[in-house]
This record gives sequence, C-alpha cells and structure tokens, in this order.
Amino acid sequence: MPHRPPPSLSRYLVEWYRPGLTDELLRETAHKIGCCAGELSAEGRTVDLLLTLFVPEDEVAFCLFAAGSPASVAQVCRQAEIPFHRIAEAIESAATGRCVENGDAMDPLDQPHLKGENHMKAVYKILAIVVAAQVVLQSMAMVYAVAGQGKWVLEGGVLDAAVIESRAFVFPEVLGYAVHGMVGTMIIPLTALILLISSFFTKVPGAVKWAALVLLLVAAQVTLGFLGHDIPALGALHGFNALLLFSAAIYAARLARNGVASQTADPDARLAPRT
Amino acid sequence: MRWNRRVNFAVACGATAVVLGPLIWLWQASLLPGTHSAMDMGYADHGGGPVGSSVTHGGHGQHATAQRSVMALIADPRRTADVAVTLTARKEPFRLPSGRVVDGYTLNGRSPGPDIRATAGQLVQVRLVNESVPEGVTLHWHGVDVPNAGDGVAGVTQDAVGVGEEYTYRFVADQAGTFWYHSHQVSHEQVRGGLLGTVVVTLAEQAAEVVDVAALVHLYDGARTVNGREGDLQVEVAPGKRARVRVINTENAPMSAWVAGAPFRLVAVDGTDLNGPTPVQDTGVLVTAGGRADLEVTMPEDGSPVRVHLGGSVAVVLGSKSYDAPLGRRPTTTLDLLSYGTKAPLGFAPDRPDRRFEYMIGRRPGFLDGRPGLWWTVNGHLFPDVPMFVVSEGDVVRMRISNHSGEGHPMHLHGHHALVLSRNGVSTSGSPWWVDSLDVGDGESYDIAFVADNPGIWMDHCHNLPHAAEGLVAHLMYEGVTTPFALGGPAGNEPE
Repeated sequence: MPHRPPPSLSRYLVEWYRPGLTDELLRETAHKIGCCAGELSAEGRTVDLLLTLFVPEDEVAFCLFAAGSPASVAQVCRQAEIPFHRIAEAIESAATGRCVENGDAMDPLDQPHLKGENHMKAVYKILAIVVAAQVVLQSMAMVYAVAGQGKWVLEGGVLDAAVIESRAFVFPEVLGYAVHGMVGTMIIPLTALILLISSFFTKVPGAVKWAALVLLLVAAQVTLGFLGHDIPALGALHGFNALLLFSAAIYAARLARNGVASQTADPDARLAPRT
Repeated sequence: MRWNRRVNFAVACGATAVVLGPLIWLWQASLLPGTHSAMDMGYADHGGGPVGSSVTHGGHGQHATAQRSVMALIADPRRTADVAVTLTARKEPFRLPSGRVVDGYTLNGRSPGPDIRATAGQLVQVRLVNESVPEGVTLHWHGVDVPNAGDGVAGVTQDAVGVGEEYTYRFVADQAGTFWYHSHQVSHEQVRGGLLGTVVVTLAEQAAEVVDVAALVHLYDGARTVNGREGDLQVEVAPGKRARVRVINTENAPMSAWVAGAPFRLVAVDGTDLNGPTPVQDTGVLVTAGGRADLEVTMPEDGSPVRVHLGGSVAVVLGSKSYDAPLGRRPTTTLDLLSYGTKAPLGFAPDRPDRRFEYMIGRRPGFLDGRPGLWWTVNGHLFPDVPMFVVSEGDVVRMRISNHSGEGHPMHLHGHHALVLSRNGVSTSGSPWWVDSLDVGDGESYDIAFVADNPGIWMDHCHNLPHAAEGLVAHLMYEGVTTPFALGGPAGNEPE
C-alpha cells in the first residue's frame, strides 16, 4: 500500500461474487475502484482502497477500504459497478507476525480509545437485550396475574374497586401486577434512557436512531398502559406496541453485533452477478 | 485523527447533558426539605376574594390583624366532658373473629377500635395514648366538624403522638349522624392496618323503636369485613320495625350497597339527614370512599329476613326468626343523589359566593420528592406546588372540583360540610346533598359550596389514601390562622 490512511477512519470489507475473475481483470477492477475512491476523496469524503483480494476457490472477491462511513464505500462500489453482496465494518490489526519483545508494536485493539468504543458497543448491545428481556418479563407477569385472578374469582374471591385499591395480595399472583407496574413505569424507561445515552458513545451507524426509537416506543407504551385504564381499546394497542418495542430492541442489539454494520445493497447479487 | 475523536466524544457528552440535564434539574427541584410548613406550601389562591393584610402565606405577610394559632382553636376548656374515652394505640398482630391474623395496629387491643357514641350536643373527650406505634399516631374525626386543634392532622394541627406520649381531643358533637375516626399520620398505612373506628352521634330524642346498626366496612389484608367480621353481621329486628344501617366506607374506593328483601330509604349521607327520602328498590347506593350512607329498612311483616349487601362479599342481615336471607344481585341502577328527595331551605346563599375556587385534578409524569412517576396534579401543579385556598371567616365559598386524571377520586374536605350544587353542569333538584367526602369520577366536575365557619388550616385531599401520599393534597386556610407545626421535623409528621 502506498500510504497508511488516518487511524480515525474505520475499515470496511466489501465482498462480492465474481466467477471467472482473472489476474488481469482483478487489476482492472482494482484500478477502477481506486479511481472512483479518488474522485470521492477529492470531494472531501475520504475513501482509501487498501487491499483487493480474490479467492478463486469460492469465486469471491474482497476489497478492504478505509473510509468515514459505509455509505461512502457503497457509493464508490456503485460507481465502480461492483455488484457487492455486503459491506461490513472490520477491525485491522497492526500485528505483523514477528515476535516483538519490547512491545513497540501495539495491537490497535489495545489502544484505549478503541477499547472504550468496543466496551460501549457491548454496553449498548446488552442494554438493548435487557429492554427486550424486560418486555418478555412484562407480558409474562401480566398473564400470570390475570390467570391468578381468574382462578381466585372462580374459587369464590370477590374483586371490586376497594380490593384493587387496597393493593393487598389477595391472591399470590397479584405479584404479577406489582411487577408489571414497577418494571413498566420505572425500570424499562430507565433502561431505555441509559440505552440512548450509551448510543451517543457508540460509533455504530444507526445506534442513536434505534435507541431513540426504543425510548419513543417505551414512552408510547407507558402512555397506552395508563390510557388503557380508561379506554380498554388502547390497552389492546399496549399489547401490540409491546411487540414493536421488543422488535426494535432486538434490532438495536443486532446492530451492535461484533464486526457490526453490514449494509446489504443487493442481496440477489451473489446468485445473479452482473457482468 | 485524534482531534476528530475528541470532537465526537464531546458531542456525545453534550447529547448526554441535553438528555439528562433537564431530568436532573427537575429531580433536584422536586426534593422536599426535611421540615416544611403547610403554610408555605404552593401558592396562595384567594378565589377572587380580598387579599387580606393578615395573610401569612409564605411567612412574609404583614401582621395587621391578630394571629391565631391552630392550638388556640379548641372546644370550650371550661366544659367538662360528657363522653370520655381513652384509646391506646399499639402496633401488634391481632386476630379477627374469623381467625385471620392481621399484622397491623390496634386501639385498646382491637381493630376496629371501640365505637364512640354520643348524643348531639355532648362534649366528647378522647385521650389518645401511643404505646408502641413507632412512627407516631394521631386521630382524625372524619366528618365531624371539630375545632381545628382536634382535627388530628400530623404536621398541620398537631405533632404525631410518639411512643409514650399522649394527646387529648375535645369537641362538641353537635351534629347527629354517622362518622368515623382514623389516624392521620402515615394514614395510607395506619388506616389500612387498623387504626380506625366508628363514631355515631344520635339525637337525644331519637325514636327508640328504630334499631341502630353501625356497619364499618374495612378490608384487612384484602378481606372485606363489617365491624371486623368477615361474612354476615346478623342483627335482630322484629317484623314491621325499622332499622337504620349506618354504612361507613373506610376504603380507598367507592363501594356499592344494596338491599335484598325489602325496599329502603337513604336517610342520611355523610352524617347529614336527607330531606324527604322516598323508598327505593332494586337500586344501589354508591358509598364514597371515606363517606357514609344511612340506609333505613322497614322489616317485612311476614318476618322474612333482609340482606343489606355491602360490596360483594359482606352483608348486614336483619331478621328475627331466620337469618337465611337470599342473596340479591347487585342492581344495575345506582341512586342519583342529584335528584333524590325533596328540596329544602339551604340556610345560606351559594349563588353569591365571596370566593370561587377551582380544584382541577389531573395527572402527569414528573418527580415527587425525587421519585419519578406519573403523579396527580392540582390545577396543573405537582405537590407541593399546589394551591392554598385562602378564605376569611364567614365567607361563602364555591368550589368546582373537576377530574381529568383517568381515575376517580373521593375528595374529602376537613372541618366542613359542603353542599353539592351541580354535577357536569346539571343542578341538584332533590334534597340538599351535604358531603364531606365526594366521589368525583374521571371526566366529572362538581360545583360545591360551603360556609367558611370553622377557622383553621384544613386539608382538602383525596381519600384514596395512597393517592394522598402521591401528592393529591391541598389545604384550605383561614386568614390570620397560623400553625407552629411542620411536616417532617423531629416528630416525623407525615399526614398522608
């Protein structure tokens, strides 16, 4: 490689299916990509092509880029007419394979800022999973309570406003209502808030957007929950919104998988390669 | 570049500050001081009346007229007591007649505490001794318009009575009716746990042929009881005779009462007789939380028993030969007090009020003493930033209580009875309907009026007691009245 791009740029691996690629064609392709990358860099959106690889056995080609965003990489590939299957953020190691005794050659993963970033990514992922798990707990607690209440009434228990307002554990499954109330009004909103804050420190594309969506759905969920006391149909929406919230939280967690950020431009490219 | 990374980090910190900053500010602003006076609470609302020079709100007023402490607002100290009772409060487990053991509180070793009975005009003197309730106790005379010093609100009219201490309540029971008493210190726990009892004031010339039954309904650990019993309370009433069942709802939610086996008349509400009550059948009566309803039944001549249902699970069964009264399904119609009975002179002119107040109940997210949640609001404000309704002695006061909070609220004004004028704009057409506890359902609004004839500082709060603990509390304050007591403080005063 002629130069090392600034370490602040992320690394992206682009992968595409290309049967029958020869040495010469690979050189041409690399040249074309390099030109397109140069054009975009001239506009101020730095994209450096670091490496081009072809694996004949799999008929798959790879490019490694240093770039500010996956969108820039995607634009370069499109301009170069590369029918890429995916763009994935990658981590580069400076380790050369030589044994270094004085420790001069530091693994970039040991650099404090990268370490912090990975920690934040993990925090983000765990918080998103916790939100999803809490939604599961909430639905379980509710059905547990309703089932317990039905059993109690069938066994002769009398339920009215005074019994509800007494907040007494007249049947053990009242615990479900208590858990639902506390987790729903306090713990999930708090978790979603911390998720949003962690997203600010996570350099995962879309992390802030999805954390904000999770928080928004939590706010809607609490509102629907309370309005449902008055208008039961809104309680039904509370049940539906729970699934939206669960899905959003799971999506957010998947965003922050290790290696992260894949952008599937053309999922069919692998099966029907452009020529 | 490293610089780039620093900028990113700074942006992330900035975004965090934008999200957390307002929350932390709101949280911090909501924290209550360890000690604060009810007089300093919220903001003064004069209801369009004169702003007196003696206003002490906030403690900065000019003291142009004589100040009176709530401690001076007492019954005639020279009078000797006609009814003298000592009540000793303990925190201890006790056994209900059904065998259920309740870990709660007792008065004189039992719960509910002893009935207090007087005839109208008698001076009642109750000595409260706290033997073992660690957080302190008080007694509030719910519905009895006592002098302010006897109102029993910890931190407003007295300090909570600590272990080993005592406090004496003195008041003239000048109004015949059904009332009750309960602790007003950490009331949402102490009332629930059993610090309560019945007060019945009868007329001296009360018709002897009417059988008088007090029916105090309370839930212990979620089990409904009447006078501490689970199940039926059997009372002997001869055929053709009348019985007056005084239903007292000590609960946090309204309760339906209905009668199977005979027609009934609703003869009194909240300790005040109704005018011209007619017999009704297949109709329920909604007894407000904290409220009372006196049901009068004339026993069938054939001697068959009558069942007075109190909610779904307990009843008073009136009978003579047999108490095998059939169950009656809860009626679908509820007696509307707006049009029940016949009109009568009011004794004051609610159409020409000196003060008009709004008491709008809502709900919004926020912090209550640092706790995040969805809290009740009064006129849009969260506790303690609630209105202080300021009146002068002799004022005719009108108040509109409206509720848009998503839940019903039993609103209880201490020290006064208020006349219901209208509900949702529809005026009353029946008997004068006087209340001290008014069920204001979600989406409803009531116009009420009262005469400010009992000087003091009076709570005006929701009697769903956990709601009061969640901030649904305001006060009515007379000009020139001050209190030396404070919420919090060394006595640990916590009235809700």
